[in-house]
Parts: sequence; structure tokens; C-alpha cells
Amino acid sequence: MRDVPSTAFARVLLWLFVINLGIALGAGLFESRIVVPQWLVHSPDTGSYFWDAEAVREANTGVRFWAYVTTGPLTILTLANLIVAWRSRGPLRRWWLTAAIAELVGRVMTFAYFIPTMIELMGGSLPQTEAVEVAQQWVGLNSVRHALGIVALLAALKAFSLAYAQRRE
Amino acid sequence: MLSLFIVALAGALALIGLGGGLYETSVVDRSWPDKPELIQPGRGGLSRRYFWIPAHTAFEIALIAALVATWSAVTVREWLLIALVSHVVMRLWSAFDFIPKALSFEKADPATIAPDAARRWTRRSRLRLPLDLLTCIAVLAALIDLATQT
Repeated sequence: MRDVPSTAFARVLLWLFVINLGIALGAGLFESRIVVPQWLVHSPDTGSYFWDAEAVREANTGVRFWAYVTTGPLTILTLANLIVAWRSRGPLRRWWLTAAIAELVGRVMTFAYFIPTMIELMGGSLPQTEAVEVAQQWVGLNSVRHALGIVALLAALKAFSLAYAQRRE
Repeated sequence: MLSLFIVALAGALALIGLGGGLYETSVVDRSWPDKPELIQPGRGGLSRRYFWIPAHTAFEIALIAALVATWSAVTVREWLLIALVSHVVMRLWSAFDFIPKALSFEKADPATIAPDAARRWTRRSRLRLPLDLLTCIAVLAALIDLATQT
């Protein structure tokens, strides 16, 4: 059995996975910290929240950004890295698998919950009180998704360094 | 082992900055020239500094720590210095060109902002992304170099 990371294809997959994970995490953190407060607006005077579905539709982040960064590319890279990591051996295997599995959980959460829920929230058909509750839950679970992204990125970087350390041996 | 972790952390933070920049140029910069209130905190708009100040500070601390931790490894140090130079060029360009203009857009009466001038700013702002990408690649190259030495 060949040492998988020594193949150029496997190394390219790991390079792309690391870069895409980092970009997705940075973009997600930017969105959460800067853009989401424009959608789920907090009023300091009353302490209440307001869900602005129109602002989300105008931002249209799914089409403008996420489709090109995560929906297609990161999903494919996660699955490809999972397969190659599974077939790899040596000390990097568990780090590579940890990264791929952590991101796979994030991808499943995205397709099963985050995308359909946001489409429903963007529609603006929910009553305001219900929309705020659903949006607050979305924001809370998004923090879990960020945590998975951090685990995946750090584990992928560890696998990345081990792949090159192994190559020398 | 610690130096590997510090360089990997610097790489992660560099990539996070690149991701934030790509999102900003793809989503925020595409919208605000036609609706300047979007980037005017005084009118309820967003404030990008709440991402960039912690993101840049964390990356710069990690990069300096990585340089200190790997100073004796010549080739690793060279890659990290390339990352430092590209990051410093981007930061100085921002400090003396982009940020002053951005602040004037943020404070101006939206009716007085010419959409064409705003779009020129957003187009030029994209030119910072290749510098961010170079920083990322240089830190990852340093990580590879360090991994092959330890």
C-alpha cells in the first residue's frame, strides 16, 4: 500500500482543503460578527430584536458568496479528503480524518438545517416573533458550526505539517 | 512542537483574514455604493472594524511569535519575513489610502456620495486580496519548511 500523502493528488487535495476551510471560517466569522447584526437587529432601548428579511434578501449571500466557496467546493473537498484520509496511514491519518469528519458534520448541518432555515427566514412569511426566535436559534447553532470549522482547520493544518514531515522520512 | 503550533496558528489566522476579505468584497462592497447607509454605523449600518481589529491583531501577534520561535531556522524565517512584508505593505496601503477614504464615506451624507467614486474604492480594495493571498501562501510554506526540519 502506498503512503497516500506522498502522491501529488493527495497533497493537492489537502492544500485545497486547508485553504478552503480557512477562507470559509474567516468569511463565516465576518458574516456573524458584522453582517448578521444587520439582519437580526437589536434595539438597545427596548432590548428587543427585529428580523429584517428584506436586508437578508438584499445581501443575497448564498448566491453572491457561499455557492462559490462552500456549497459546492468545500462539500466536494470534504468528501474527497475523507476518502483519501481514510485510505492514508501513518500518524497523520487521525488528524486528517478528524478534520474531514468535523467539516462533514458542518456540511450536513448546513444542508439539513442552515440553508433551509435561512430560506424560510428570507421569505419573510413567518410572524415577526417566530422569525426572531428561529433566527436566534440559527445564530446560536452557527457558533457551533464555527467551532467545528476551527477544529477542522487546526486538525487539517496538523495533518498538512505531518504530510510533509512524513514525506521527508 | 510549540513552534509548529505557532506557525500553524499564524497560517489559520492568515486564512481567516483572507476569508473575511473575500466575503467583504463579494457581499458588502457589492451593495454599499448604491446604499451608503449600509456602511455608516451612525445611521445603523455595519461597522467592519469589529472584525478587522481583532483579526489583524491576532494574526500580527501570531506572526511575530512565529518569527521569534523559528528565528534560528533560516528558510522558515525567510518565508515568514515574506509574509510579514506582504502583510505590512497591505496594512500601510490600507492605513494611508483605503481607511481614510472609507471613514469619509462612513461619515458623509449618503446623498452626497457619488456611486462611481464608491465603486472605484471597492474595485481598488480588491487589489489588497492578492497581498493577503501571498501572506497565506508564505506562512503555509513556512509551515511545510518547519515540518520537514523537525
